[in-house]
Amino acid sequence: MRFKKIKYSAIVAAMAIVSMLPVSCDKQPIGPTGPDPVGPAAPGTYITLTAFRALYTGGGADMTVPAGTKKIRGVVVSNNSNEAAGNYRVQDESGSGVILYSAIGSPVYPLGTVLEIDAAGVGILAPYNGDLELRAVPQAKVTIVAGTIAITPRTATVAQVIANKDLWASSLVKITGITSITTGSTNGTGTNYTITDATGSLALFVRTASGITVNNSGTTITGYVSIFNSTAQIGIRSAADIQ
Amino acid sequence: MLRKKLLLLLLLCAGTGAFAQIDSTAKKDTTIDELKEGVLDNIPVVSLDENDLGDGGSQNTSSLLTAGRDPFYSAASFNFSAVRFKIRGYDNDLFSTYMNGIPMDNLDNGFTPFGLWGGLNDVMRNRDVSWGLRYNTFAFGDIGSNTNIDSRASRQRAQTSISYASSNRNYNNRFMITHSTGLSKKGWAFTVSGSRRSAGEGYVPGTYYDGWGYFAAVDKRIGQKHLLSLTAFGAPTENGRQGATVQEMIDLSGTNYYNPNWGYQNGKKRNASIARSHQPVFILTHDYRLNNNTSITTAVGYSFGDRSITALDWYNAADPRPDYYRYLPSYTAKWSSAPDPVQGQLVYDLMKNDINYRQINWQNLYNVNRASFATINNANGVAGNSVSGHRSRYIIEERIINTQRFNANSVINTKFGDNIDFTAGASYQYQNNHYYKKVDDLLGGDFYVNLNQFAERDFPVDNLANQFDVDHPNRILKVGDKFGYDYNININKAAAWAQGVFKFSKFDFFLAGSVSQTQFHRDGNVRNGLFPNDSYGKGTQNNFTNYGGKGGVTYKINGRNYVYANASYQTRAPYFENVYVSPRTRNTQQSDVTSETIQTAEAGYILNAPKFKIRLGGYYTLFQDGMDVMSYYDDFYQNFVNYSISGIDKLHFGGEFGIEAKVTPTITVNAAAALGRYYYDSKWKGVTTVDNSASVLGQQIIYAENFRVPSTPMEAYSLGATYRSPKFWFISLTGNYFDQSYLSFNPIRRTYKALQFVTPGSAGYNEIFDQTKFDAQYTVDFFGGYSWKLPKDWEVSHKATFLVFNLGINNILNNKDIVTGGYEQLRYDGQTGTSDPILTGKFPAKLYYAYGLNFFASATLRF
Repeated sequence: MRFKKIKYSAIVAAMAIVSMLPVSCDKQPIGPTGPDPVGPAAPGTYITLTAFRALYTGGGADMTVPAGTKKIRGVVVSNNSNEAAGNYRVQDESGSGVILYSAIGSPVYPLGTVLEIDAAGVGILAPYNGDLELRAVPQAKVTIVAGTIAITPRTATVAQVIANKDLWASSLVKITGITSITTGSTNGTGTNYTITDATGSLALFVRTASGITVNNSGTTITGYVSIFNSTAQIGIRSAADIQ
Repeated sequence: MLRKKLLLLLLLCAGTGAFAQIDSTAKKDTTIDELKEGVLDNIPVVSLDENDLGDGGSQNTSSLLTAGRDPFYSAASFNFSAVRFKIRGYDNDLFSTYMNGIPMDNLDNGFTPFGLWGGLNDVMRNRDVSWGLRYNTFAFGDIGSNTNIDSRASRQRAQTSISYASSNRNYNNRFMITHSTGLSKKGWAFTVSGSRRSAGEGYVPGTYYDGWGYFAAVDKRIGQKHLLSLTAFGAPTENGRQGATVQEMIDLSGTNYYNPNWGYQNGKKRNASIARSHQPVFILTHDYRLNNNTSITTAVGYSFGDRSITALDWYNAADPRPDYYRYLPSYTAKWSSAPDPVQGQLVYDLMKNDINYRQINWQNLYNVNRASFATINNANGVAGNSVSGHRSRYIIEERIINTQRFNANSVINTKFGDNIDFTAGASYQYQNNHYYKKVDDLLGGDFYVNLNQFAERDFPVDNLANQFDVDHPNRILKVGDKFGYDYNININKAAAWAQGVFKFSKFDFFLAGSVSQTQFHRDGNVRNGLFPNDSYGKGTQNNFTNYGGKGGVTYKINGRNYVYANASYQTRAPYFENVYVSPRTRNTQQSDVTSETIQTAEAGYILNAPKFKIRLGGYYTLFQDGMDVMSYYDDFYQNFVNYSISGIDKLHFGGEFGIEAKVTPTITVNAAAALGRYYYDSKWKGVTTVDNSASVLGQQIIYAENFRVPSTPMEAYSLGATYRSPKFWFISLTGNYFDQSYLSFNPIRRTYKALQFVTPGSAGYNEIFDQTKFDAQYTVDFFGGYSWKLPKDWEVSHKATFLVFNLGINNILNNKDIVTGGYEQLRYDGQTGTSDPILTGKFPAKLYYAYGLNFFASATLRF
C-alpha cells in the first residue's frame, strides 16, 4: 500500500513537472533591431564601381564589359520616380555610381535596394548623353541582395560638382548654402530649375510625372549627379531632397 | 429469401432510429473504434490555398486510427480531431503508412493519400501502429507514427457486412457492402467490398459529395510456407470544395461556414472548385515463412490516375471571385485610395441583402463571354490563319496531377536465439507526377487562347514572351485542351535499413539504422515564352544521400510498469515542392538545396494493469534546415510572386498524459492531456521572385524565431466516461478543451522592410508583427451503440447474424466559434514611410471553422 502511494505520488509529481515545462518555457518572438546586414562578401568577389567605371575605354562607343570582370554591388540611389523608365542609379562604398538601364516594367528596384550585378561578357558600357550607363544586363544577372549599404552623400559646392562630374556621376552629393532656386523653362517632360550657391549655378530637372513639388526657398539639396549633353546636373528623388 | 429482403429493408430504415431495441440474446459485436472510423472518414475538407490539390491534406487523421489501448493516443487520435490536433505538432509527412508491405506515402510531399481508399473502412481495419520512435517490424519508420494496414483477403474476417450510415458532414449517406470468404481448405481467400458516399449538399453550403469505392483481394496459400496476395482497390470521388475566407464575408453572410466557391446558375448552386480523384492501386504481396523464426515479406505495388481541382481562370477581365478584396465594403469604405464610407455602407447593404453579390455570379460570366467577339490572327501558329468567335474571358480550368507510382519493398524478420529479433528491409520507389491543366468549361464562349496575359502586359512588343507554349503559338483552346503549364516531376528513392531488438528480463534495447538515396528533377513539356531556355526539358538532377539512426531502452519494473527512453537522429531530402521556385514556369531552384536534419528524443512511463492504464511521456524534437516555397498573386507586381524560404528550424517539446480507469465493471473513465510548445527556432532567409521574371526581386531576413508552429492546439485536454451495459449497448460522453492555437503567419510582415517605420513595442508594430492566437475552445461528444444478435431464425448460412447500431454526435453543444485554422494572406501593402497607414486589415486573414453539432449514425448487418 505504501509502495502504491509513493508510486502514484511520483506519477503526479512527474505529471506536474512535464506540464509545467512547456508553459514555463514560453518564448517570445524578437523583431529586427536594424536593417538586414549585407552579408560579408568573400574577398575579391566584387569590383568597386570606381574601378568599374574606369573599365570604359570606348571613347563614346558601346563597349562590352570584358568577360571575367567581377560583379559589382551597389545600392539604388535613384530609380524611376524622377528618371526615365528603366533608369536606376547604383552607388557603392567607393563613392562612385553608374546608371543601370533595365527593361521597362518588371522588375522594380526600390530606393535603398542593394543590387548585385554580373555584367561580365554581356553588359554594355556607353555614355548616354555623356553620362556613363550600363545596359543589356539580363535580369537574371541582376540580383537583389539582402541588407543595406549606408551611403553618406558627399558634401560639395556647385563648383565642385561641375568640376568632378565625370567622377561623381550617379553618386549622391549634398549641396548646402543654396542661395536661390529659380524656375526655368518647362517642356513636355518636365521643368528646369537653376540652383545657385556662392560658387556657381547648376541645372535641376524635375519630371512632371514624378509629382515632385520643388521648394524654391530651400537652402540644402541632396541628390545625384547626372550629366546631360556633357553638362552637369543634379537630380532629386523626392521633394524631401530639398530642405 | 423473404427474410433476407426483410433484413435489408430493416437495414435501410435503420438510419433513422430503432436504437431502443434490446434483445436478451444480443451478443457484443460493436466497438467504439468502428464508429470513430466512420466519423473520421467524414471529416471536413478545407482547401488551404488554390494550389492545394487536397491529396493528403483532405483527410489528415486516418493514420491516427487504431490507437489501440494506449490511453493518450486513443484520445489524441479522435477526441482532438475536431480542431485538427497534430500529435506533437508534427506535420502529416512524419506519419507514414504501409499497406500489405508497401509504403503508401507520396514521394512528392510525404503525405499519406488516404483518399485512395476512402469509403473502404471495412477492409482497412487490420492495422499495426507503432507510435513515436518505438521499433516496428515493417519499416525504419517516421518519428510520428508508423502504420501497417493489412488488407489482404486472408486477414479479413469471414463474413458479409452490409451497412448504411447517415451523417450531416461532408457526405450524408454511405452504403457499404463487404464479403470475405476467409481462408478455404484449399488455401484460397477472397474479399470484395464496395461503397457509395454521397451528399447533394454537405454541411457547408455549396459543397457536395459523390464518391464510390471498390476493393477486391485474393490470397492463395501455397504449401505451409508461401502466401501470395493480390489486392486492388480504388475510390473515384468528386466533391465540391469549401474555401477559406475573410471574417468580413463571414459576418456579411451570417454564417461561419460561408463558402466563396459557389454561386447560383439557373437557380441551382454551382461550385467552381471541384475536386476529382481516382487512382487505382494494385499490390502483390508474397509472404515466405522459411521456418518458425524467419519470414520474408516482399511486395510490389503500382498505382496510377488523376487527381484534380477545378478553378476559375480569366483573361483581361474583372476578378470573378466574390470575396476579392476590392469588392468588399471595407475596401470602398476604408482601404481604397479614395475611401468613401457612405458608398461602403451601400456596398455593405447590397452584399448583406442580396446573396448574388456574396457568391459567384455565373450569369454575368456567361454574359461577358457571349459579348466577347474577337479575331485571333496567326491562330495555332499558322501565319494568316484567323479565327473569329466568342473568345471566353472566363473559363473553368482543371488543374490535374497525373501520378504513376511504383513501389517495391522486402522485409526479413528473424530471431537469433531467445533474445535477439533482427529485421532488415530494402525498398525502391518511383513516382512520376505530370502537372498540367486543361479547359473544363468555356462558360458560353467559343474558345480560349493559350496566352499569358501577365506577360502580354509586361512585354507588349514581345511576340514570344506571352506564349505559354512557344512551339505552338496562339493555340486556340476548346474544352479538354491542355494549356498553361505542363511539366513532370520524376522522383526515385532507394532505401535500406536494419534493426536489432535485444530482449532481456529487465531491459529491452533496440538499435536501428537506415540509408537512402533520393533523386528528383523537373522535366518541362512546353517551352514557356518567358523562359524559353529554362522551361523545356530536363532540369537539374537533385541527389540526396540520407542517413538515420535510432535506439531505445525499456526498463521493465515489473510486468505492468515500464520506463522507456528512445532517441533518433536522421536527415531527409527536401520535397520537390519546396525546392522549385516556380515549377509552373521554369526549372529554377532555390540556391541552397539541402537535406533537413531531425533530432528527437522521447521518454516516459507506462502502467498497464487490467483496470488501470497510464501513459506519461515527454518529447523533444529539433528540425533544422527546412525549406518552403509560397506562391500568391500580388496586385502590386500584377503577377504570381514566389517566396522561397530556407533555413527553417523548428523546436517541438512537451508532455503527454493519458489514463484509463475501470472504476466499475461497466464504467470506464478516460482522461488525456497534451501540453506542448512548437516554435520556429531560427531566422529564415526569404527570396522573392515572380513568375514573369528570372530576376530576384528581394532577399530578406524573416524574423520567425519563436513564432508558434500554427494550425494545431499546443494544449489539449480530454475527460470522458463510458458505460458498457452487459446487454451489449454502450454510451460515452467526453468533454474536450483546446488552447494555444495560432494562425499561420505571413513571413513578409516579419521583416525589417515591413517594420522599419514603426516603433518596436508600439501598437502599430504589434499589429504588424504579432502572431494571432485563437481563443481557447471546447467540445462535448456523445457516442452510443447497440449490438443485437438476431434470433436463430434470422441466421444466414448457419451463421449468427448481428445488427449493429452506432451513433456519434460531435460538438453536442453546437459550438460554432471554433477556428481550426487559417492563414494570413501573403499579399501585404507595407509602409513606405512613417506617415503611411498600417494596412494589415486590407488583406485580412482567411479562416475556417470547425463544424457545429454534427452526427454520424450507422446500422450494420453482419452474417
